[in-house]
Amino acid sequence: MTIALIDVNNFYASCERVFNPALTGCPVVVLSNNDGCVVARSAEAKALGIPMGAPFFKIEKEFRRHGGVALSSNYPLYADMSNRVMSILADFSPDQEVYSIDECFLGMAGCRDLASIGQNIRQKVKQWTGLPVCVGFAPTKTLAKLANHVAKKRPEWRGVCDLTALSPSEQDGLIGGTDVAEVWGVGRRIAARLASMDITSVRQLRDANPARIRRAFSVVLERTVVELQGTSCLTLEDVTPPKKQIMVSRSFGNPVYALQDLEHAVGAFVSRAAEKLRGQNSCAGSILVFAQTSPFRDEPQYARSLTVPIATATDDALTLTKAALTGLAAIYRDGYAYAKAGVMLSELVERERVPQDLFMREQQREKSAALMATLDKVNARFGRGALTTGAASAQGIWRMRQRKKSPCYSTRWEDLIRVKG
Amino acid sequence: MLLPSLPRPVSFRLHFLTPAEVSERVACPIFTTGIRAGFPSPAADFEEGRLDLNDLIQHREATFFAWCEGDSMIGLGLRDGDLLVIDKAATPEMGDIVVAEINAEFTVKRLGRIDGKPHLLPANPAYPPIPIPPEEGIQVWGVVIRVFTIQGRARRGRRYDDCAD
Repeated sequence: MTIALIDVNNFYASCERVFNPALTGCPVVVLSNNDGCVVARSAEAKALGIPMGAPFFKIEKEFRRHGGVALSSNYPLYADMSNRVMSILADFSPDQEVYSIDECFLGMAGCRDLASIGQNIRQKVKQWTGLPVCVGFAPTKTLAKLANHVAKKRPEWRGVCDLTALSPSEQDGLIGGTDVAEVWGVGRRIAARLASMDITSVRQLRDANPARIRRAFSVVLERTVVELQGTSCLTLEDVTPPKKQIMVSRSFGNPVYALQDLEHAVGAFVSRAAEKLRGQNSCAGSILVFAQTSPFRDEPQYARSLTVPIATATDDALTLTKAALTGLAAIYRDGYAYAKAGVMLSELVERERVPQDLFMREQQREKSAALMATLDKVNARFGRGALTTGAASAQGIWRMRQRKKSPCYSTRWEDLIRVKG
Repeated sequence: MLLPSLPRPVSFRLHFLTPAEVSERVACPIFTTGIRAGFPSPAADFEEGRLDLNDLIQHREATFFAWCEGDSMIGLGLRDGDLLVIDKAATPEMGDIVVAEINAEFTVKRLGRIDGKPHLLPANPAYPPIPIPPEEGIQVWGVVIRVFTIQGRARRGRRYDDCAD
């Protein structure tokens, strides 16, 4: 079966552009939480040579001199636009795997003339959402990723690359000139080790002996080689399996000193984690809480974490909060400038499989379930965090710094675009 | 064989541990269909569900909202503060009310012709028509398919700026 990989070009920057015509043609970067580093760049910003992950303060002056615009990340906007794109793409195939916020695989079984299907996809997503996408077709997921990369980097392909339509010699030429680091799952470190084995192009990796690769690296990379050779090892996963762990953590907008302020942050993280937990119908058997100072600041360093077991696995935000705050009180030390904290729920089990608790009465359990269901309903209607536990505070000094955030153009009434009548 | 005799306890008492509080539960039958006293509704078999304004939207993924600012389209009933429903999936045609990008701003006007040449037309004599340059054209962002106007009493002191609460 042929697999398509569709991905939005410069997703965050492109989303901002849809709603702000003033950004057309000028370099745009989107910054990480707390406006620290560059996490997305428009084509113009890439052309200026701004690397991914660059600390913004280092490039700010030069970037502005070129008329660049920097924006805080606007996740509500990106999430809404992502949902729209995925829903449009779902119309092109019954088999869809949403792989990340801006890319998905489609199973193209039985489809002919892929090149024109690819152009249809591009045209439809562009018109319906204003977002540019590229499409790669190939017999395996790994090759589809590669085809997508080619479609994006080489303008002559007009945004669509169908590897299945190329002759073996054309394919060789194409991947012979592509850096091995562009292969899905080959990071910088693996690429460096491959280079020491004289493997620098995608073609060389494809032609490597899989058994030798497994011995030198792992089964995972061996599978990559087999996929590059055109044999599919990775299937489309249309349903994301429930997570085994749920983590919520943030770097703070300002350093936090007092236990009470840390509690507000941790309380908010637990509320969010518990919400995700209920979203996948699981209960947690333990909760880990951690707090740490910033390794980038010249101050006394401290980092501790503690796992608090929970007698009976639960999805109750109140029980989980209590456990997390107990853990936090145990690891908290006075006199440090805390820069980050978080919680991780683990030992997750399906809600139906949680054993009955001898010491918890049925009524109590029903009460908790009803309370949590109401909490989720209220938040679904009035926005995330509208109703939360008393321990959580969204407005604390820990709150993320996002000074350059654009309006939530498509999800909030007060933020809609203004049109001159 | 005789068992060695054990000293017998003087008094033997078994303590049963019970929860501090035993809640009494009374089972009540619940009928989800609702059994009511009185007469059954003669309309029960004919219920059709309530209308939803979202049904008026054709392309959900391509539909966006915007606030209208200004009175250049007053002649066609678009007032300052109105909510525009914009469909980006619709292909703009002559006569459509569209949202277009002009000088890095969004504007709402009607697509039309003057002396055979395409223009963005206001619906208010106080505003001039905007010619569409034949070479580069203009960027149409989407087609306005519905307009929500707040009427009468509800209008007073209630503009888009108040939507935050």
